Amino acid sequence: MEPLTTAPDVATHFRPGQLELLNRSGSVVRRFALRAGPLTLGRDPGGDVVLDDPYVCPRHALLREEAAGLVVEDCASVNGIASAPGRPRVARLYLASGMTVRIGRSTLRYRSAAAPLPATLVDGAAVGPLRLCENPVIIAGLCLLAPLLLLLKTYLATVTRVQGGKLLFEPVVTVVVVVCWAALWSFAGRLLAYRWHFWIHFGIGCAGLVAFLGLDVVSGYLCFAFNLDPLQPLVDNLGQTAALALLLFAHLRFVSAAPSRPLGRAAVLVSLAVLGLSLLTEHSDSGDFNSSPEYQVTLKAPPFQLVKGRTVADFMDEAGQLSTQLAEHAASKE
Amino acid sequence: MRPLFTLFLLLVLPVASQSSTEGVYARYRDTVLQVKIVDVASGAKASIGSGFMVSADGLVVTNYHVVAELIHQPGRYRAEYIRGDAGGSGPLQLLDIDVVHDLALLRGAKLTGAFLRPRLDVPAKGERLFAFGNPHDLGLTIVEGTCNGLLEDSLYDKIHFTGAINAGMSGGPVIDGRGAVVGVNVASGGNQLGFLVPARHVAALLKGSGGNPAEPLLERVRSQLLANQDRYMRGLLGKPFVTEKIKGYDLPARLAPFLKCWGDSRHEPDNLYDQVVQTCASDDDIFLTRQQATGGIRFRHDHYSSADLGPVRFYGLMERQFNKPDFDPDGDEKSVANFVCTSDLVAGGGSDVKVVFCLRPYKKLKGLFDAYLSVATLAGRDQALQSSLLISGVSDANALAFARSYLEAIRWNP
Repeated sequence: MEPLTTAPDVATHFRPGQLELLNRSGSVVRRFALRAGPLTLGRDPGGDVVLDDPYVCPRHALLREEAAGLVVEDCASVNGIASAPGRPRVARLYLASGMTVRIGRSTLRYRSAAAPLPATLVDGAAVGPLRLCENPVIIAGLCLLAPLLLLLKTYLATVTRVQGGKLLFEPVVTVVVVVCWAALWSFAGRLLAYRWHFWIHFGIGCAGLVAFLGLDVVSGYLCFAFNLDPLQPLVDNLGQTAALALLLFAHLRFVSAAPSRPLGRAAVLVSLAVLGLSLLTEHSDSGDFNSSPEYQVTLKAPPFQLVKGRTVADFMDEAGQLSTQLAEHAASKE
Repeated sequence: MRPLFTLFLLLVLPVASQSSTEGVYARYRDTVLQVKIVDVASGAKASIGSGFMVSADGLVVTNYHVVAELIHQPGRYRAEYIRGDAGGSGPLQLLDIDVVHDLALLRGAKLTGAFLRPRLDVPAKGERLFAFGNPHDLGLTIVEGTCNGLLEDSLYDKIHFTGAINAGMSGGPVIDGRGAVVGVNVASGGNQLGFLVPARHVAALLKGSGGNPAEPLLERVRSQLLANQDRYMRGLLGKPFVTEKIKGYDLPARLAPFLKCWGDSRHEPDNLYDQVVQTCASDDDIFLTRQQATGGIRFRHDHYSSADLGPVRFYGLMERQFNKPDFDPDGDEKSVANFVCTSDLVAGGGSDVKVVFCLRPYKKLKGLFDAYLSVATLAGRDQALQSSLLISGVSDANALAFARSYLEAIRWNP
């Protein structure tokens, strides 16, 4: 049976342009140049635009040029045509540049030759200081530095005679965790940007580890040197949040082609959410009863001490405020 | 000869029967009671102790720790007595307490009959005594033992009784051969080592020296503890702290006879540091509730040194040790609040020190606190001292004064 058409098949020339066959993620998998028409769209290998789609009829639709523009007409097909998946089927559909037509389960997009092409994307994170992440020497240096720092940290925390195996255990486990972390980011990068970047993600992970280790040590020594123990939780939280934001931003730049600003915003938001969650947990735990005193004081070797101690009398005067605080707290609860 | 023999029998036999164990038991058993603390909801006994009649109209003495739950959880428990072999039981009403000496005075409305009188002096060492009670709920029991005088170096009077006192006998009387109460069973150290509250404190309780009868009992607990801590703290703070030299440091030592001090040196083959420890503690904690004893003083000095660690690792060790409190004080969420702490760098004697001072209030006993002080010296690259103090059940003013004296007594004096 011959399909019905609404206009005689008079040969005409199309305006310059092309039809793009899109996949599910919207990427172009095939292009059909439009020259002279009308063109038949269907599964028939002898047709003009052949679609290997079992939901498409052999002669499914007809593409023709009219005075008003390009139009697709349904040739009494089984599944019809629509402007997009899920939209109602129509008999005719005018196509402006950038519009799509759904035929069976295939999606075609019309692109006029006059329509501007999208801006060229920047390849990966190759901008600013993040360019350093692609430097193999720096990646190798970070991959070496992080385990060494871990080893040093474990050694400094060990006060017994131990075998090397015990010293190596924590650094090895941590490096394995960083490898898994880098692999996850690489996998995400492969899905979104078609690139693995494993060593870059591993280098970023190691840089993050070095930053966290360094922050812990630096904040401890600074708070001890200037006798600022009460500020240490604040310094730690701010430092760790900033480090986490930078770490996430660096990973995201190599995973997504999106511009820096939204990626930066996303990294900061996630870091602030992690900080908020951690503070919330801390706050909820602070109400729990503990029969022992809880405190955190820095204690380093005397040469690092840069300020002088207060007098005993001054300290005890301040300690005397504790009972006032407790009384006020009890009164507020009552 | 015969009249003389008859006279001998007349004179000696009554005394012999009076002081033989079975005679004593037969004569005084009706004065001793089992005291039961009954859970009101289930009607079952929650704990048991012993007690004894001290008046013909039903006044009964037992230990405070037997009936403490009546004060701290009123409405949840009630007290009842079961009267020795004579049978009979009934409710008991708590009238007064002496929390410091662990005594309580109760009244049984239907209780009448024979009673015991306190003996105000302490028997000589070696005098034969008889302890009554209901060990492990096995029924009224008599235990023969000997008096070994008052405990030396104790903050509160206690008679050292050599005889088996077991759980359930708390509050039971210990009498001499004439039936006078010498003391009240209060604690056991195992292996025939028993401790009694001297009967003069029973007499004081009976005279109403416990305070105003209209005062709620919990308030009386509070006022007695406050007065008691003021008394012994005045004694401690009224003179310079006794110090002892350990590894170049002058440190608070045995500040009072009631403190017991012990020392130890630790050098584990695997450790890259040496540790010298001295601990001092009072053995005279006051029972407050099942979860909490109070009135204790504990402190310990830990000297660390190492030739192998180097300053960074050595002070890493010190930091970890310092942030781990040495004491785990008694008390639960119902009785005490969390500690609040302040810390600072303080110019100590001979070197700067890091100091942490923490305080927590008692929730039901206003004005009483537990205090914790910890000090770490910054005197050397390879040796340092950590000293910690815990005092419980004191006023905030006394806690601060004691902590200050303690801190000032620590000197680096190589």
